Formats: sequence, C-alpha cells, structure tokens
Amino acid sequence: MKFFAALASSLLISMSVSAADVGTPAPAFTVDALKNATAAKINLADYKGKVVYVDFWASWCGPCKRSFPKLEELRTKYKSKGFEVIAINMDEDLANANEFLKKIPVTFPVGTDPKGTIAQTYRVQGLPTAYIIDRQGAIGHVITGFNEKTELDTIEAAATKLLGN
Amino acid sequence: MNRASKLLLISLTLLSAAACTPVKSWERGNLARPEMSFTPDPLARQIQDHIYHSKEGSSSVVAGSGGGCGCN
Amino acid sequence: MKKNINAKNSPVLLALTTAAMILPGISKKADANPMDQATTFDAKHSIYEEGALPGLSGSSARERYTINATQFKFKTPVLEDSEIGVSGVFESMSGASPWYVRRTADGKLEQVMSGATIDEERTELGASYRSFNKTTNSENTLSAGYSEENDYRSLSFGFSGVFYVNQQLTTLEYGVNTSKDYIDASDPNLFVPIYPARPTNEMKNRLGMMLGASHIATKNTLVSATLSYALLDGYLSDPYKMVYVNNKLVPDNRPYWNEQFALTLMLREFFPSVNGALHVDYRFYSSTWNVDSHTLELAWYQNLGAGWQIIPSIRTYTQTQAEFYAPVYDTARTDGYYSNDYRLSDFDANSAQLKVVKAFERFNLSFTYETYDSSGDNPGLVSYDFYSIGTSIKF
Repeated sequence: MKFFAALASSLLISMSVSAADVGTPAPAFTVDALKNATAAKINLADYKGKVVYVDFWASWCGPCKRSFPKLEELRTKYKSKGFEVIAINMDEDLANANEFLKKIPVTFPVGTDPKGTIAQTYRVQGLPTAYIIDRQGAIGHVITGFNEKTELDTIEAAATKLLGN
Repeated sequence: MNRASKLLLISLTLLSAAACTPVKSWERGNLARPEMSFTPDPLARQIQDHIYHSKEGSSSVVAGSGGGCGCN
Repeated sequence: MKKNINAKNSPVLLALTTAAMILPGISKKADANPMDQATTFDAKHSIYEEGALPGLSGSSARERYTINATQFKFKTPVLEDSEIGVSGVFESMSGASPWYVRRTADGKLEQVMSGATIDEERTELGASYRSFNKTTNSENTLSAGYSEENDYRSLSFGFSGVFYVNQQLTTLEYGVNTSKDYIDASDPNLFVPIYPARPTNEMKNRLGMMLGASHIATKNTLVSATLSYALLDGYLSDPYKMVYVNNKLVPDNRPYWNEQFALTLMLREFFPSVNGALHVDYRFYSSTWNVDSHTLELAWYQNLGAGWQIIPSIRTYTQTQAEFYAPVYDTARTDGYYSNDYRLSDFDANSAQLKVVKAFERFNLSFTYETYDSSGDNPGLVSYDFYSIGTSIKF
C-alpha cells in the first residue's frame, strides 16, 4: 500500500523537526532594519544583557496581527527593566509588511528576513514563533502561535522570570 | 472503478513527488490567501451542492451533517 | 556600541533562568501555525428559478419552480483551542413538480406535471464543535443537523478529524457521518382509488465515511484527494412520481439499497504575476445502481485591487443512467423496479457562473449569478438561473 508508506514517511519526517532548543545559545544574526531601528541593520549581539523577545512574523498571519498590540504593551511595561522586542518580518514583498505596520504601529525594532535565512537557523516551524533570549544570550523560552488568553500570561511570566524581577 | 484507481495513483504520486521540496512555513503567504482555500465560501458551496444534488443523480457522498431533500 | 546595558549577572538570576528552562512544557516542541481563532458570521440569500420545460404538458398551467433560500453560519471560539458553530437554512419552494413521463401519439416523450402547485418550506439547523489539540497537532469536529419540511424530516450526526503532519505540509482527514430520514408524503390518498396511496411512515438510513489528504506542493500550489463512500438503505424512491409500465401508471419504485463511491481531486494554484488563483475540482462518482458520473469545475479568482475580486467559473457534468431507469416501460421488469426520474437518466449538464466580491476591512459582500442547462432523452430535465447575495463578517 503506497498510501500507507507515504503516510508513514510523512509522520517520520514530522517527528524529526523542532524549533531551536531551549538552553542553547541563541544563533547570532544581523538583519536589515525595516522600522524603529537606530541603524540600517539590527544585530542581536547589540542587545546582549537584555532579555530579548525575537518574534518571527508575516503580514498574512492572523495571530501575528493580534500579537503586535500585546507585544507593544509588554515592551512598554518592561522596557526600563531591560526587555526588548525584535520583530523579524518574513514577507517576500516588503510592501505588505509596511502596510501591516501602518495599520498596527509599534515602537519596537522591526527587521526583515525575506529569504528566511535567520528563520532557518532558528528552525522556525510556523508563524508566529518567538524566542525569549535571556541576558546571557541563551534561548530561555520558545512560543509558538499566539493566543492572547493563555499565551500572553505565559510570555509575561517567562519574561519577568528572565528579567529577574 | 479502474479509472478511479488510476486517478488515485496519479494523485498520490503527485503528492509524494511534491514532498521532495518542502515549502517552509514562512513561504506560505500566498497559500494563506482566502482564494487559495479549498472552500473559500462555505455557504455558497452548501447551497449549490444542495441544488446540484437535488437535480442530478450523484447525491453528495461526502456530505457531513445536514440533509433534507427539497427535491421535486 | 552600547553593550551589556542593565546586565545583572547575579547567581539568583542564573538559577531562575535554569529553573525556567526545566519547567515542564517550556521546552516543548514547536508546533506550526495553530488554529487561528476568530468569530465570524456569514449570511446568504439565494434565488433559484427553473426555466420552462420544452416537452411540457398536463393539467397545470406551467408555473416556474422557484426556491428562495436564506442561510446563515456563526462561529466563535470557546475555551482556548476550540470553537462552536451554528448554522441554518430556510427555504421556501413553489411551483409544479414532474409527475410522470408519457409517450404522445406521435411517439414523443412528454413530461406531465403534478396539477397542484406545491408551496412548501424547509428549515435546516446545524451545530458543530471543533477542537484543536496542540500536542498531537490535530483537530476534531463533532456536528449534528436537523432538517424539516412538511413531508420530510432528517436527523444527522458527523464526526471528522484532521492530522497536520510532515511540518504541516500535509493534512490527513477522515470522517464518518450518519443520517436518518423520515418520509411522509403529503395528501397520501389524493388519487385513491385510481392509483395506490402515496407512502407514509417510510424511513431511510445513511452511513458515510471519507478519507482524504491534502498537501502543499509548492509555495503556490495546494492539492488534495478524497475518497468517500456512502451506504443508503430504506425507502429510496420518490413518493410522488408515477411510471408508465405497459400503458398503466404505477408508483416509482427503486431498490432499497444503494452504495455510493466518490473520488474528489482538487487543485489550487496561485499565480503571483497576475494576482489570481486557479481552482480545479474533479469528481468521479459511482453507485451500485450503475449511475456513474464525472464532474469538472474550473474557477478563476482574479484580484482587482481595492478589495475587488471577480470569479468566473464553469462546471460540466455527465452521468450514465440507473440500471433500472426508463422514461416509459413497454414490458414489466422481473425485479419490479421502475423510475422515469430525470435524475436517474443518461444526461449532460453545463453551467457557467460569475461572482463578484468586494472586501472591506471587517466584512465582504458577494454577488453571484449562475446559469445551468442539462440535456438528455428525459423530457423533465431542468435548466435554471441562480442568483445570490452574501456577506461574511469577521469580528
């Protein structure tokens, strides 16, 4: 039965992948800045010592739309304690990303990775996927999807924990 | 039936061949467009299938719940 | 560059970080694109109008058969990973209906319509519960439905599931559904004693199942294949139709058992250069009554900017006749099965449709027109026009 063979192999493939591991150093990256950055590039290394929420998103992703205002709130609340959000846009067409940012304005830095190079090193499996990186530069937490009812509390708890408050 | 099994084979071959070049999750912007859904307008599908099935011999084999005939 | 701002490399923080990392559930595997939860309301009103029959005769002044249908569907998230939906269909139908087929003096076939104009209503209500399981990356849906008209009631249940596998490139679907229908012909004794009484208290059972797979083939291509099977038993005849056998009218009588099989193939292809999408749907159907059919639907979704979308589509359908079908029977059949229903005849049908959609920030409006025509040897075959206006609102 070819069908079951195909099915079994699909299942095997699906089991062998997952996002970058918690506890390992966050892969270094430099991306082109799209918005709110102080320079033309955003370099993760520049944020060492802060707790950084690295968010992979795209304009066409529904949960991403709902996550942005919440991330903005969170960032405003904890910025003084050393919390930062870096949003990495995955749109192939930057016009779509800009339109999204016009509708849902944020103040945190937004970079772009249209070829998915950084997403690949972080082994992003779906959008949105976020990595909370601790002050030492290690991945402290991985958030997949965005559910304001449950995930937001988890994110806030994880962030405050990493911030050491 | 023979034609059906041939079609099934072809479609499965297509499916497995396509699996060689996996599309990354962030490359699915076009696929996320509403017009790329299998049923973009479920209510339209429901009423039109209902009409086709009440005027043609092949009733819906796939139909989930919901029935009634309205046939005359 | 500024570095190590607010750095607090305290042992306490380190301990906390480590604790956070080993907390259960924190290092769980990354799932891809989970269910996007949203509250939506869809509504549609449609008008179906049948054309005049060419071979028409009978007692009735021909009234065109029309259907007015209003549909709605509402779904909203409950709990964190599940949603409920309710839907309804309200239909009113009026017009004359095909009664029997006869052969005229010059040997032509003619459809005789029922004398009375039928005026009836149908109400259908449905409810569903869908839940997403993050650990197994799967979805389950439970649904129930009820439909009622004056001579027909139907109760149905369904269970279906979806597995997202292979980095969410492939989805596997399965489902089972069942329904029980009750048939109670109106005016059962209308033509007694000339013709037998129309059947009342009849029942029909249906058990269906399906297995399907869909797959992301390229970043612009989606394909799917679905196999489905249904088993029907009980009263499968038409309570109002009569058939000429040896120059005598007898009631429509079909086997009490029918097994149906279908294979559906679908393709969705997006063309970025023209900002449009092609839909190809093909279905092969076969039943133990020997009705085999092929359906091909092609649709083009053209985005025009400013939220406008125009969707032309065509559909072509062809079927073979049921084994026991004939417009008129010159000799009796040993099995006693008779039907002159055009739905069981050998025929082809073609239709063309045009749909226009205008999307706004939180809702859209759509208008649809379809024209349908069928041809074959049965004089009762229909042609119709279909008009529809709909909206879909996202809260």
